[in-house]
Amino acid sequence: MLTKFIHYFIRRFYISKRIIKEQGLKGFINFIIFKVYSKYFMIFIDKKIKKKLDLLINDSKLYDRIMIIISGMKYDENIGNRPTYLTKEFNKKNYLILYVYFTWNKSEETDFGFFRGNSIFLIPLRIFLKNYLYIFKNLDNNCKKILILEAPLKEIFELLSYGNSFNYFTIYDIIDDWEEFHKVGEAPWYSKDLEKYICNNSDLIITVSKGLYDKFLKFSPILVNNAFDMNSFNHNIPIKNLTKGDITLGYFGHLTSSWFDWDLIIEIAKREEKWIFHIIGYGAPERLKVPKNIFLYGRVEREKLPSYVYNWDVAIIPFKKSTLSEHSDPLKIYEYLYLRKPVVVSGISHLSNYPYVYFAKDEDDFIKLTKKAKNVTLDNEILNKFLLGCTWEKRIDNIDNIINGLSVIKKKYLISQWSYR
Amino acid sequence: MKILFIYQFLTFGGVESVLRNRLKFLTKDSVKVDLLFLYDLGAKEIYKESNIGKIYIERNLKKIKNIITQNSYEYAVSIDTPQIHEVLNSFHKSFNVILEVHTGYYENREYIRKKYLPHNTKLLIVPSRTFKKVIQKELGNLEIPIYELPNPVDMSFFDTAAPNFKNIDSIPILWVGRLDSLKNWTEAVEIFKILDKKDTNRKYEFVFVGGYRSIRFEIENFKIKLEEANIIQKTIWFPFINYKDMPLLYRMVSSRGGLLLSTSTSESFGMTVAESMAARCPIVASNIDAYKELLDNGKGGFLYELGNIYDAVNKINELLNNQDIRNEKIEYSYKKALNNFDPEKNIKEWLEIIKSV
Repeated sequence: MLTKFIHYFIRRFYISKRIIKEQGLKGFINFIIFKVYSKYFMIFIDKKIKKKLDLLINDSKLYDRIMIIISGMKYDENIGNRPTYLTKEFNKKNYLILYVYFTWNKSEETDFGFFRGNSIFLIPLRIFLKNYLYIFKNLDNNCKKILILEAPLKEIFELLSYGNSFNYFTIYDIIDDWEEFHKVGEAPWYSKDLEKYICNNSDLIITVSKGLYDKFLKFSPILVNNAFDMNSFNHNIPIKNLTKGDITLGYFGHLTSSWFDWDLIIEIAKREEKWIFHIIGYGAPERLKVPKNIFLYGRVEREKLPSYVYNWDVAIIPFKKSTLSEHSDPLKIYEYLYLRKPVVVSGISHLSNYPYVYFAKDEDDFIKLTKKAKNVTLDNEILNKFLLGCTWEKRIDNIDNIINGLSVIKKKYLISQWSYR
Repeated sequence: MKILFIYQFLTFGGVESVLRNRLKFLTKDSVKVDLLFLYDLGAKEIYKESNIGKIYIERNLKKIKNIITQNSYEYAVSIDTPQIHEVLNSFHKSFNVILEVHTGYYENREYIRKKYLPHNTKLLIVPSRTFKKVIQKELGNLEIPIYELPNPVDMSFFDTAAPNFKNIDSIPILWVGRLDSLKNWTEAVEIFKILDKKDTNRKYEFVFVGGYRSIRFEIENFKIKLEEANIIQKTIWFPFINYKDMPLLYRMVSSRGGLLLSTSTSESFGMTVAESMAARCPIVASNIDAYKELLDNGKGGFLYELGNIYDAVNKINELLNNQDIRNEKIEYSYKKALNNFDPEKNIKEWLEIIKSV
């Protein structure tokens, strides 16, 4: 007994010595904290979590396609972001979806478990990080396994690498120019080198815009634009009676001054006093002062948007001229057109390729083109033809066709066969 | 014949590979084999294709004793698992206990230095001549026969054809091992950093395989070091690779003009280097005794002075630039691997050794 005891301590001594040598004293302290924490505290939390995860694992046996989506945003059908639409559409194609979402703090971790039915499982990134080995190992059957990364979060280094080891087909879906976001003070976690690591280690790169496609050309990306979902709006809600002007303009979406050109809109509103602006959304700068003919509404439920939009003559996307804007593909452009509104855009020149979208180079141009847009007659046939190819269903078909075409995953260093049950 | 192999961890390490390679041929010779691991770290699939009996995951000593008693094994082969020596000790002197020592970790050989061996230990098996000397020294004057037998390498390493992957213009430099100080991954990062800086015309890809189940701060430390060396954007990292894919990996690296770098500070044998030799992937390795023995003092691959990163960079460049030297070393290594690490031959020798008890 005593010998065993002595051996135990001698072994621990050498292990400690090795860790201090490798990681320094700080690393050693971290190690001790980790060990104590995992031994005495994790057990209680883990049991509850494992119980929920086991539900997912049991259900996974019924599926021949599993998809893990790691997103910077929560799953929110009301806001309608790209990761949410990917989830919805892939789910329609009989994928079991594990939606992992980033939060800034623990209080935001409100969703954990199956969401409406049994095929979309929501899990906060923090919990996923603690349990991903358990999940990867237990979802490790011979079905098609896809891992989609929606943001180059720092945790992706670990998760993508393990995803590759566990034979997932890994996709980095570049939905924004994160580098440019970072430059304007957003996405503080961004690292350019890490993003290159992600590109280098993913099996497929998807970009949301032509600008991003060009930027990541050396990684042979495919272009899959954003789209619209015709079921996300409720057309039965009565149209609101909003103030109208000589021209009534409107916008919905994020209002951060990082890309929304407040100076341009305020200046135009001052020059064209009889025009009315209806601005819907959140994230506007604090202490923003706007002229009387600009109305701010804050957040509006997604399904209610048409009741506002039908008051407008012209929809606008007044973005600042920047690489960030040029590389974006705002979802709202498709939604405006679906709601049959001509659009005046600044900052995103490539949108002028779309029907009834006018690109304004400057303030004067914006005014001139708004007047032109107000008087344009929309040809439904042109719009329908265009919109038919811009549904989420079509976009996801595109990605799914690529995945379905693969019976073999050709990674850079591995060839693995997917076999179906 | 009925044998129980005992090892601490069921993971993706060198010992598990050795066991797997042996089992294929042992079971052919109608030897019944069971495995007992103390901890399951999720690598059961390694033995999927092996025709073995049972895989026990057990660390309760009483239960282990029951398993051994109930199954009436003729041999218990314990590989660096002193935790069960107490159990083995409780059996009669006539019970055949074979100890295999494979661990290159000094602290894990404490049981050898303290001579904490079961009284019924018949013999010790070690994987190399170099390591035999180390163990002899550590055991002192204890009179137990020590046999040296190299580890077997699976035949798939010898047979796998080079895959044809297009549109990849970078040269892969492969590093395989645990992310710890024995495998010395930090030196690999330093070498890659200098290599990348020195030759800006050449595109490299630094492929790390290993680190499965490393804890978060170790992974974070790995990431930080890659970032500091400014090579993270050129790094490919697989925490593990299924064993069946490893031959393909070596062949891929070799066919794309790359090589294997091993920076270990100590090895009992050097499994990754042996596998690389069999798969015709050229090697640059630290000049530790085990590698000197494996690579015949540099004939089968370049040896660099451990700790001298500039020496390593020069040797890598020489192997990348000089096709004649590259081919010569590949051929030398391949032949040596074929002669020495053939699993069928190896298992016959192993059986002869244990039957000599």
